[in-house]
Amino acid sequence: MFDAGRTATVTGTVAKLEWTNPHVFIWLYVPNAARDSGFDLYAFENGSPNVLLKRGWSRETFAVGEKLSIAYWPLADGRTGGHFAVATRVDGSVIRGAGGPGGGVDASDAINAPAAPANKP
Amino acid sequence: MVRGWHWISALLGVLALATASAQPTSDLPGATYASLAELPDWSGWWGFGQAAPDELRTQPLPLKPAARDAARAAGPDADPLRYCRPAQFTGSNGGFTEAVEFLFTPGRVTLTNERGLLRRIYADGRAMPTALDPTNTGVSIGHWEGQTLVVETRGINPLAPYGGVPIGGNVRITERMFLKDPGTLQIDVVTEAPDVLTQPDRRTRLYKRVAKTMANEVTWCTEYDRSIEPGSGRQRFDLTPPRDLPPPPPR
Repeated sequence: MFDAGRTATVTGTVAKLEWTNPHVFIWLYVPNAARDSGFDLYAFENGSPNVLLKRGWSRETFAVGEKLSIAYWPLADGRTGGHFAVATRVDGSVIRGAGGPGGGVDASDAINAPAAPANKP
Repeated sequence: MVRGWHWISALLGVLALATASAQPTSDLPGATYASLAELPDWSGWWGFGQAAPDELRTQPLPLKPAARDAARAAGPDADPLRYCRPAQFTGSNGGFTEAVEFLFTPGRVTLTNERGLLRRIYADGRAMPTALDPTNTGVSIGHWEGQTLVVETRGINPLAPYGGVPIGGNVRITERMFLKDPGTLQIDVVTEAPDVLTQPDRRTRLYKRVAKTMANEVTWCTEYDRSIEPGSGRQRFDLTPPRDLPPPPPR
């Protein structure tokens, strides 16, 4: 389902953090001038709430409207989404996810954090 | 009439003896509240660092060809047999996503995890029942060998998933649980599953203490699960947006 051989990076604003079993999902509006709507909606699967709790997450880790750059393992079928690896906030702080294709709970530790997004609308 | 009472008395005597021999023995380790203090300290929560699919990739089961083909057809990550079923025991107590705990009461160790597994391990001297109805966690009889809990489990539901296939009948699982060091609980597991394995599967799992004081429920069976297809239990990625998404930011 996910392309384990590469990661990609997008920058956008958080639409929602779905704190659900068995996987947490992060939804992100990513600007795309080529679309009538002006954006693409990306979804990123993550580990379970319990595993993420152990890695310092909570259901309030990301606020709606927060700007993020997210590195992820893309969906193999090319749709706008994938498995969350690591995000960087505007202030440069880094949040690592849990799990990933072919890896254990620490799979994202091997992925470079993306550059912080610019702090502008 | 007198002759009849004689036979009834003899029968009652035999029954009394049989009942006495099946009674829990109070001088066994952990058989009383006072003697629980002599047992090792397994308090708190325990985690195992490898997900089941990853463990099977690094240490495959010795499956018979037919079972191996069926497991391959099911796929490396998909375990459709497991979706939305009650927790079942086929040799693994979990520990990757769901932490495990051990509760000591007189004559019994209860093993639970955050995914709803519940195993009652009777360590009161009773014997394994001879007639067993298949259940999700089987019947577990344990005894202490020093600081090691030895557990035999039988009566497991033959349809319980095991590496992508039903585990089959006549299963016997033997566990030896002990503290390797104060922060590491070692569980050596031998699984005999003659319907699907060419030989007993032997593996060692090392559990580490998890710094938590409260359970967090883990469930794969939710009202709406965008990562698993409800009909088949296979993994998917449903990109249907949540209904309550806020509008996108202004351009």
